[in-house]
Amino acid sequence: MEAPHQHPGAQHCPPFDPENELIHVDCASHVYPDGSVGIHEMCFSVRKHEIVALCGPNGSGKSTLIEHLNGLLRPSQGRVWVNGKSISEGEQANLWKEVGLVFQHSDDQLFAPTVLDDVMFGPLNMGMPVQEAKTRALHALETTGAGDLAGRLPNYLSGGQKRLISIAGILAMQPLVIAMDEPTSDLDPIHTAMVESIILDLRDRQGISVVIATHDLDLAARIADRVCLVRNGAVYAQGIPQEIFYNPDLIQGAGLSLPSTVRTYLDFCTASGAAPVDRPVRREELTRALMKIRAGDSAR
Amino acid sequence: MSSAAFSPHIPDLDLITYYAEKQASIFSRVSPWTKFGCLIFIVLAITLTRNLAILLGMYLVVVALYVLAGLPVRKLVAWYALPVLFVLSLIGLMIWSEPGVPLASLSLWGFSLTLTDNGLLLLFTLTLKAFISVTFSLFFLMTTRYQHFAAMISRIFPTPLDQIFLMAYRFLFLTLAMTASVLKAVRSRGGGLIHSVRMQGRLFAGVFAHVFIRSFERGERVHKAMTARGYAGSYSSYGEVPRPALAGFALLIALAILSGALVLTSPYRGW
Repeated sequence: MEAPHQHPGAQHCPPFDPENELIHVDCASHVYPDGSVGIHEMCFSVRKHEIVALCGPNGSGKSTLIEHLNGLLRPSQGRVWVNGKSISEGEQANLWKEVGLVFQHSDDQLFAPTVLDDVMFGPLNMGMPVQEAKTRALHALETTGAGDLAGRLPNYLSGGQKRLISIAGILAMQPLVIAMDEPTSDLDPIHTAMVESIILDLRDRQGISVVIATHDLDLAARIADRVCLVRNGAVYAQGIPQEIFYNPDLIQGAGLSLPSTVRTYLDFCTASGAAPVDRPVRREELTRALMKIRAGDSAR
Repeated sequence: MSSAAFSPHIPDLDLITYYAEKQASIFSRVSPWTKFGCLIFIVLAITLTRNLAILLGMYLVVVALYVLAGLPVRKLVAWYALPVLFVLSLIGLMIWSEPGVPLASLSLWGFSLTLTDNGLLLLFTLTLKAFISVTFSLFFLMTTRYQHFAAMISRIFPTPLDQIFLMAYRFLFLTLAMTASVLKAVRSRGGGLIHSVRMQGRLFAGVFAHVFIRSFERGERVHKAMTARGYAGSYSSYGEVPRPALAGFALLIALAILSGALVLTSPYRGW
């Protein structure tokens, strides 16, 4: 784990480490046709078997960045390396096979008449035989807990079910990295927990790295191995959650608010006069830290 | 969101897809090519004949097929509103000028309009033809899986026409969903289709223009999501379309012979 690292200027992007990095974004910039800047000299990387949270407010460049990872957008300047292949402006690469993209609004992603047809869409585009594509699609649906929805029509499903299908549609292509744009926004707590569990499962059991773009720091605190704060189209700070989330100035500077666990812990420490030494980020860590403070109080 | 949300008279594409994918009726197992052949025959027959008895017989047959397939009859009756409007807009004026035995007359601002038996017959015949084609088209769509439909389109039309056809069909879903969501927003604040047009016509016209722009935007987002999964301008339809069974072939041959007979005996022959 590394200490938080701030990039005052992207000229200082760390060098590409092909041994450990699946994705390396090297000083990439993207300007939209209307002149607005999507990302500016962005430095970003995704390592093997990790969950990276790209955190930033609306319009900070998170979605633009993840569209670069999949090849939907190409950088106006700089380079993007995916699994050892480099792409820059104008170069063609079938990045969609390596990096799956789950869109923020499932309705934009699901277009086929049935769930199974939709999940098979990616594998068929990969040139897979129909039977193999079907097997993969059914397996992906089982993995996301949506196996019973295979024959249903996407338009008649709930928002949570649609999100599971969207993830299955990407999972069926068996990419190395899955990038998810606001994966739990507009989901109820049960489906949020299901999606989180799927993301953890992807990393732990399938060895897939996951990038989540979110402004929900509670989500990042629960599942991320590494947090990148994005502001004005560039990575503003990055590091392990304990380092990033216990730096209120960084969080405030990125236009975000502290995760509820961190806020609770800091408020409790202030109220009880205890020093905030443990830096809990996840709920179970918070419980342990609070028990420790209480045990300390009892001993005194 | 289903298009039924804004009018029960507009065919609900989601419901049509639901029946098509459910594959519950025996007609779902009939080869789509056989049903397509029947559709061609029906279109040809209703174009060439104006014999009321034949048309009535055909209508009874297609309705019987529709009912036997377990498709929703009440919905069908509601969906007949559009063909009726189409026929009325087409011959609404013509029926008053048909020669024949006068049945009723109407005087308006110095003009006299007379409805004759032939005028009424024309209205009845064309409405019947519209009902036959609509009923069988719905029967075909509601008993044929989209993948089979897509594969047939790919076989019939050359690229990129087939892709345009398939994407335009899916785009209809988006536009209808977008229209339904706008109407829902209008209704949630006390508006209504007729009421809002009357009270705030300009605004309502703007809203509907906006619906189409938003549909295009959403279409672009869908395209982006498809591209993210490897779509490069060619929709991969899968699954072989089942070939007609022996009985299906026999039916198609019989229909072809019947078509020939209809062409030879048609009152329009020699046009």
